[in-house]
Amino acid sequence: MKEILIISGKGGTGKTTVTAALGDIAAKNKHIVLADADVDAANLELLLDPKIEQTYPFIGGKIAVIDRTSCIACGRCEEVCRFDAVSHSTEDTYTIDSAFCEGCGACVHQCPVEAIQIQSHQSGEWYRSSSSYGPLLHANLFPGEENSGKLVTQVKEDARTYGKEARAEILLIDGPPGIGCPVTAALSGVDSTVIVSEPTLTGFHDMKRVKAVADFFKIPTQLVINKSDLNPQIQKEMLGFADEIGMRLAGMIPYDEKIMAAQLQNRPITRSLPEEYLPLFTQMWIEISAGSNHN
Amino acid sequence: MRPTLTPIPGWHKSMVITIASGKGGTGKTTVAVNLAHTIAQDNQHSTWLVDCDVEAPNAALFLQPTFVEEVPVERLLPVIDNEKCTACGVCVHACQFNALAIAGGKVLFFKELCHACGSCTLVCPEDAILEEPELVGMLQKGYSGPLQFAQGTLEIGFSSPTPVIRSLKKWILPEQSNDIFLLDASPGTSCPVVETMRGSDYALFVTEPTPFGLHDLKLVAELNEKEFQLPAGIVINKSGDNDAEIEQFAQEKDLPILMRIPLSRQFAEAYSSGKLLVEEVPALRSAFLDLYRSIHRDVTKENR
Repeated sequence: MKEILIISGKGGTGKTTVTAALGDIAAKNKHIVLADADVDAANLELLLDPKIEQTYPFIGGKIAVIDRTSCIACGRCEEVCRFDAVSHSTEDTYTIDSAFCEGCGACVHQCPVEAIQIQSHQSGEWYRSSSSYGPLLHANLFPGEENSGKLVTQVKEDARTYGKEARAEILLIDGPPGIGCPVTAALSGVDSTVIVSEPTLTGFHDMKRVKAVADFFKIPTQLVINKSDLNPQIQKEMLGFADEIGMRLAGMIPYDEKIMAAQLQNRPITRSLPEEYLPLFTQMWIEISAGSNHN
Repeated sequence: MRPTLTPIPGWHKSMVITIASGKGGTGKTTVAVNLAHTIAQDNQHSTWLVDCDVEAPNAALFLQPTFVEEVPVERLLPVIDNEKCTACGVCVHACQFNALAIAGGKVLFFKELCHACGSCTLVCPEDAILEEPELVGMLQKGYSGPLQFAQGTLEIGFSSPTPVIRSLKKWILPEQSNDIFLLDASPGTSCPVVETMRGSDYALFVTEPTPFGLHDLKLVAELNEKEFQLPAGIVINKSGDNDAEIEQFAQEKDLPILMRIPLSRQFAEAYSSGKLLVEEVPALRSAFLDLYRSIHRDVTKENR
């Protein structure tokens, strides 16, 4: 099973739109599995209309909790906490702010009266769903929770298992923005990545950063330019950059009112766009599969 | 005549405004840079724009700041002194992230899993764990005209943005001041956004009238409700004929819609080449000033 991840660096360049369009096309003649690795703003489900078959709790959050009755307010916990999660509360005791506690346990071991314990809590859930494009693995990290990387890994592992069971040929993963932990978790072990960018200074800047991260993990990349022709000068520079470093261009999507209108429908844009747009996405998928097999 | 802002009587503290969105690409940076630029040009208070999207810091591309100071952000990683280590396993047991393991009578360290919490160093009975700094990012500060500017940049290959954001805020936000700070947050609703919003006085949500924009606006509003309860308002970017669902949500949650920036190819083109909207379309200046006035009114009302 080939694993293809869609990333971007900058948010809002069209990762999810591209993932759903490619999924729609790929599903016509291949068995595919889809996964949404953008767990703190999961949007692929809005386009694929999945039917949830199984829901699993994600026990990712660990936090330290102080038992106020045994706390002697010595302040040792505040001293050792490197995350500024401990503070002196108005009553003569200390409290831990769950939003900032990373659950490292440094305070637990340093507390002279053993008043602190690590507690696990549910910080999200993940789902096995079916859709008319193939199975979808997706998740929902509760707002403000940590460990999005771990939940991404969970979703991907489940997608791999599911993919094997279903004898899928392709696993298509919608990635998160940025270059932080959920991105590195999403990159881990995939066969290739597609960077969806746009010809804007910011899009180009962030594309270079996420490309460097993909290189760091030695994962081959291909490029899709969305909103093409918005800025011909920057587009030329991007294409020059891609050419120089040997990054294949898999396709371009124009800045176009019909495409923007299609994005308002809650389905893959390939289902809403007029027929003349379809070859653009069919060709893009041919390029991407060729590029992924090539490696 | 240029519209000017009058200082609020009796207002002697700083004002920290976080700009967040949930979904990426809705226009956080656009709103942040144009708002900051407008306030700085008019205000009697010193104004800062702090780019807290350390994974993809972009505000500098619009503001072209001159940097005057730069400091590295480091985290402390354990180094095991094998002469002293008895492989007792206390550190392995203490580590909540499985970053330490014993194999072949030695403690092995897995850097990728380490949160640099210092637990292992503290618990080692032999004092066999020292710490050594690792570079995780850079902080820079400077100015762009009358606007003060700061940003953090996460090193490529290091996956945790939170320590960089935390250090950036500690470096820039003083305990006492009456400056205005605009914090440009990352997309999403997890730790980097939490770290940015922490300690803020106001949350400004930038959204767009698409299914994704609304869905993720709901998430970030929920984050604020659950963790911070900051006074908040909405900017609809790429606004047009489809704002109704956002309006409905805003009404349900009692979140005021403070500004609408129309969907326009002209704006998208200005953005693409790093131009400020308020310089391309000077008429927008008064709209951004109004936005600031509304925020100011809400913050001062809360603090009275």
